[in-house]
Amino acid sequence: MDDAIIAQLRTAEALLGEGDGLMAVDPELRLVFWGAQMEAIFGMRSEQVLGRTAVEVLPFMVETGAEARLREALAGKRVESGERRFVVPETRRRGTYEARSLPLYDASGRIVGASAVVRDVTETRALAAQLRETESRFRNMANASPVLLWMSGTDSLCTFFNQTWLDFTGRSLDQEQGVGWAEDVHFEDLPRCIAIYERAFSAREPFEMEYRLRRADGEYRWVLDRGAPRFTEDGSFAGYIGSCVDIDDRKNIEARLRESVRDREDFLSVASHELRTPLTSLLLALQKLVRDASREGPDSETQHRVVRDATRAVAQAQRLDELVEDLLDISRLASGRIELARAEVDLAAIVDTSVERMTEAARQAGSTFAFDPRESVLGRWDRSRLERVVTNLLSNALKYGTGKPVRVSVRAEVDRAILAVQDEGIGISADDQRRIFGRFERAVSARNYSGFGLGLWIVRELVEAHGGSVEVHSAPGEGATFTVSLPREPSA
Amino acid sequence: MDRKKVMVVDDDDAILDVIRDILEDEGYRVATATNGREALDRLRGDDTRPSLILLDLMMPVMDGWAFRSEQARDPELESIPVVVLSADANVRSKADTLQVSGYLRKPVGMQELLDVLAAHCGEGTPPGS
Repeated sequence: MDDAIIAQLRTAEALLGEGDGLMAVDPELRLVFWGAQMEAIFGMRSEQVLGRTAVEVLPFMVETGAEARLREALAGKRVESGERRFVVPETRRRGTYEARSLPLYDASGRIVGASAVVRDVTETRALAAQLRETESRFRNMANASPVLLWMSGTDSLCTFFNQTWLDFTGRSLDQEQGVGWAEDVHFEDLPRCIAIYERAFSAREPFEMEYRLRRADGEYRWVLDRGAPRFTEDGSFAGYIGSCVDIDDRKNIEARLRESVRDREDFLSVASHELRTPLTSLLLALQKLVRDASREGPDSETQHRVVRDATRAVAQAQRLDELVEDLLDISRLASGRIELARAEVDLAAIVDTSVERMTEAARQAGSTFAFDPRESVLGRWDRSRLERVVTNLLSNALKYGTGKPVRVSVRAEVDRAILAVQDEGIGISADDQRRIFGRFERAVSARNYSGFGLGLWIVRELVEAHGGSVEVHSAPGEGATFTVSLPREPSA
Repeated sequence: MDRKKVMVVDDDDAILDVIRDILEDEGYRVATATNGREALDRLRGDDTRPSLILLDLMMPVMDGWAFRSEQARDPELESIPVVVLSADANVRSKADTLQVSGYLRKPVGMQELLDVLAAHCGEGTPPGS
């Protein structure tokens, strides 16, 4: 072979890509050139192969058709081999290769041989297969998913909908692709959806939206759609992926729940009115009876009894009112629906009024209140709720105070108000101190002490609704001190 | 104006009866009505204006709120002070929106009731006038 041609082949080899091997044969198929990369691919050095025929060196060329292609190249054709998988005998490596055969010309344009470029594409093909596998796994997963999935590209147009989506809408991928999906969205929701999507898209931010999507049977169902931007491994934006779940049933339940809460509020309002109306005339009639009996006629044993019994009845009517109040508070608190009507309120004045109002109850418990309102303690609180807190703490102290005096104090700190109610009664063990603020809890048996066991629970709930806290210091036999701490301004 | 005349508006007869008895014992003259409409008719047909109206809120035919807006539109009646007597726990905040001169929550104690009346019908200038 002409040295000039060999030199050209060397130049060509240098221009080939990494992993590409180059060889050349003369018209008798004897190898005249064997590039360095051929050594790497076939595990044979050039001195082992030059001068021998290609078929002798690479016997599989017959079977793979490579020999025939070399002959075609010798006849002046350019031939591509396509991919071939085979085991290289010397290296025992199974790989995928492709080859291209070309005629070799001398300076006068006469065919003097053929060259072949052999490319090892094993890894490229493996990567492609892996990609296909990953993609088909994604599609299988996507189609098996119970949620509706979609994907869009960098142009914001949708490129993929899973089978679940297509089954839901009863439409084909072709119909849904691009902006076809917009036909499934309720026309009232569509402008909002597009606005949310476009805003999120340009900011590359995740989004969440609810809209009505038409099901195959024509019914619109509320769905919750969550979309997130996709990024490739190198961090470049690739579009969005989103998932939708049917929340129609949940929406309906929520609406029914709101309705039933409203119904209950209405009922409570009517019930409270209906219960308090007879209490009003009952209480006034009893108080009138006390007054009439105290005023009229000669001082007699009967008169004393009437005054005493009617006074007892007055206290019971007032207790009944407290219980009605408890019941209403409980049902509101238990559903977490308590709205505070805050206004500028003087805690000291509230305590003063409550102490005044409960003087008769204290007298019946054989106890007294010690309270000295020295100064106003102002804050923005719900007056009637605060009255409940004070009343419940006072009646609790009377109930468990074994007839000893109950000391009440209020004081203002910089941003808080402190209320303390101290009795000298039966006291509370450390274990019980943890329980008493719970619902339906009392430290002692229900047989000896009446009530719902809700008084302190209500206190805690109402105080916490104001952003405050309540705690107790006590030991059995040594009385108890309940301390309420209230922020004077609602926290922002 | 009759300083010792009071009008009580409530749809519950037992409440009307006992309040009337208590107030009459104290020397008040008492007119009653079982709803806002009846109260308006009685006020417009009577030449002695009460010095105070004790007003329930939840009533059939015409409730306390509707009564207040009718009252505000009538220059003859507009200046009569009103104290709300209601079973509503938030009566105080509602009373604020009704722009009345006082509020009492049902059940009300007799002494509390008499104190509020005395404050409005006493010899001094009644609050809110």
